[in-house]
Amino acid sequence: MRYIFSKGRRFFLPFFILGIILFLILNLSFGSINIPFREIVQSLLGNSTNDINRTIIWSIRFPRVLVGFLAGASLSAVGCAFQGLLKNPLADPYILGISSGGAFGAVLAIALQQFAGWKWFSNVETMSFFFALISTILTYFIASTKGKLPITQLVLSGIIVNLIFSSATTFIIVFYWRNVTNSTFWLMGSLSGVFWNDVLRLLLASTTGIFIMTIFSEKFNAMSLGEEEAMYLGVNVERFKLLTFILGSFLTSIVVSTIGIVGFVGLIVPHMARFLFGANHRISIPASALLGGMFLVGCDSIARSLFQPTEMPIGIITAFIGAPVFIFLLKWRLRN
Amino acid sequence: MKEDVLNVENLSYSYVNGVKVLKNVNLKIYEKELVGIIGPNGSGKTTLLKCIAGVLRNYEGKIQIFKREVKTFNRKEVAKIITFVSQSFSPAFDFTVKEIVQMGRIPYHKLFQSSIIGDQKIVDDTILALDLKGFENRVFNNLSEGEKRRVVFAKALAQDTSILLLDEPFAHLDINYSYEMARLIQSKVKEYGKTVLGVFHNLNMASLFCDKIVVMSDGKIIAEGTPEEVYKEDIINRAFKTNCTIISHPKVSKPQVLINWS
Repeated sequence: MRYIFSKGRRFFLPFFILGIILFLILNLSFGSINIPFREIVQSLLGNSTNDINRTIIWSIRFPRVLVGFLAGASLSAVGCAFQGLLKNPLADPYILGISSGGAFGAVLAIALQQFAGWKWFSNVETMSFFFALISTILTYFIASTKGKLPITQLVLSGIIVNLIFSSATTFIIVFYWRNVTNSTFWLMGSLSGVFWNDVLRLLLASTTGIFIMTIFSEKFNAMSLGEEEAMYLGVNVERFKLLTFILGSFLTSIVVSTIGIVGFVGLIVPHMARFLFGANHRISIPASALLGGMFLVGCDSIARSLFQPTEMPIGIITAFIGAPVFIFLLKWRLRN
Repeated sequence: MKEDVLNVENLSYSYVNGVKVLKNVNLKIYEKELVGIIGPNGSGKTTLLKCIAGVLRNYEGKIQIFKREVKTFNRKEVAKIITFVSQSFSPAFDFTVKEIVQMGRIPYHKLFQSSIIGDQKIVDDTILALDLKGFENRVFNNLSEGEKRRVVFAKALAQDTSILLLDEPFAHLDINYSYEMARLIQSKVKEYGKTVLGVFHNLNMASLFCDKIVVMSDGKIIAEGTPEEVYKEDIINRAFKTNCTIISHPKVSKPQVLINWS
């Protein structure tokens, strides 16, 4: 039973990829209007006669599903890499305070736009990205000592920076209390209102990021043995930590600035990937990416179709599904 | 004339708090020697190993490996010459035995490479040498302490370096298994022609395992030589501040330490 797909991976791979494509197409059909599968295929092939459906699919659903897939893939791959790097199964992409930094930037932008009337702060995404990076840089400088980055200090600094920015976010929300709903959607994540330019930006960032992380998979394996062990295996530990943090923070900041904070994906999907495919990062990083992408797309379909006429923030769905899965994995691990 | 593999001259090392842990240490180790370092806690044994391994770099003095200063090697170059086996080894995730042994080959891989020609044979050979056949797909974290040690040594042998540094390698094993392991490792390092420098807490095992013993106390080497030369009551008593009697092992004629119980 252990590592169901650890043998014959090459045999399963084409079916796995085909399954992902089918899954993504299937998810195009859910939403406020359900579109039949046949209609979707026709629309994708350019043969659709229904203009409304074609517009919904091409302008709304398709970019949304792709952004969901790429965002989920990025968060999960970064989560997997951070867990390996920090030798900590509880690490996630937000461990450096990126989430609250990004949230603060977005909420600040909303507040300044709507209440202070500073229209030149109109781009929520840019502000969010900017503050997400600032939070990481802050965490880095608090943690670094004499050119080194001790892991315990880094995790603690991340917690402090998270606290600072989330307090500041709450302050703004309370201060400008009327706009709470808008901010809540941001704080729990949402895929509504994404466009093709978001797809392109994420596609470029996530494919490059995941590719680089997979190239360095052996180093992540070595780091999972501990920093000293990695050093004895020839890894330049400090340089590698810095490189991973820069890459991971950049990727996470782009995701957070596009869809808000979606919790649990970056934490549990890497565990699911290891459960299915084993711990070797050469497999578990790309597997986390593929599973994470599917997981977020599935959660988004639930978020937008199950609670009609309203739409649920996606972070709530990922937590509702993620928590039981995590408990199952934990229990399974303890039993074995 | 044997060539010296490791040459340490006037080595001193202080940690951040300014306390000098190593004080003018001089040591020469020759090819294929099995050298054991013994000494009380805090005498600088592990610090000496870490300086030699190139992990602690801001030392004073000289550490030359094959006539080249260890500071001038980059991490990857060191990893192709020196393997460090530490006393605890706990991967965060469920790697299989084979994956752990394969990690020994990491120093030889360039970017984009996850294996090179010859890796498979080395990994298979070391798995066989340490009697791990049939364990390849078992999860490391689920093995017994003794089996885990075998895997760690298989990984160390797969790293294929000429020098092995051992930091209390048999610390967590029971008396039977630790001696069995020591015997196995001794025969393998001789067979593979490795030079070994190890820290031992078990003085009697060090005497059986090593060709040469180095006694450390308070950051200095106070005696050096074969077990027979070094295991003298006054030397051991001075180093460990204890009261002991040295006897010769009735079967293998190696000195053994008995603590006087009074």
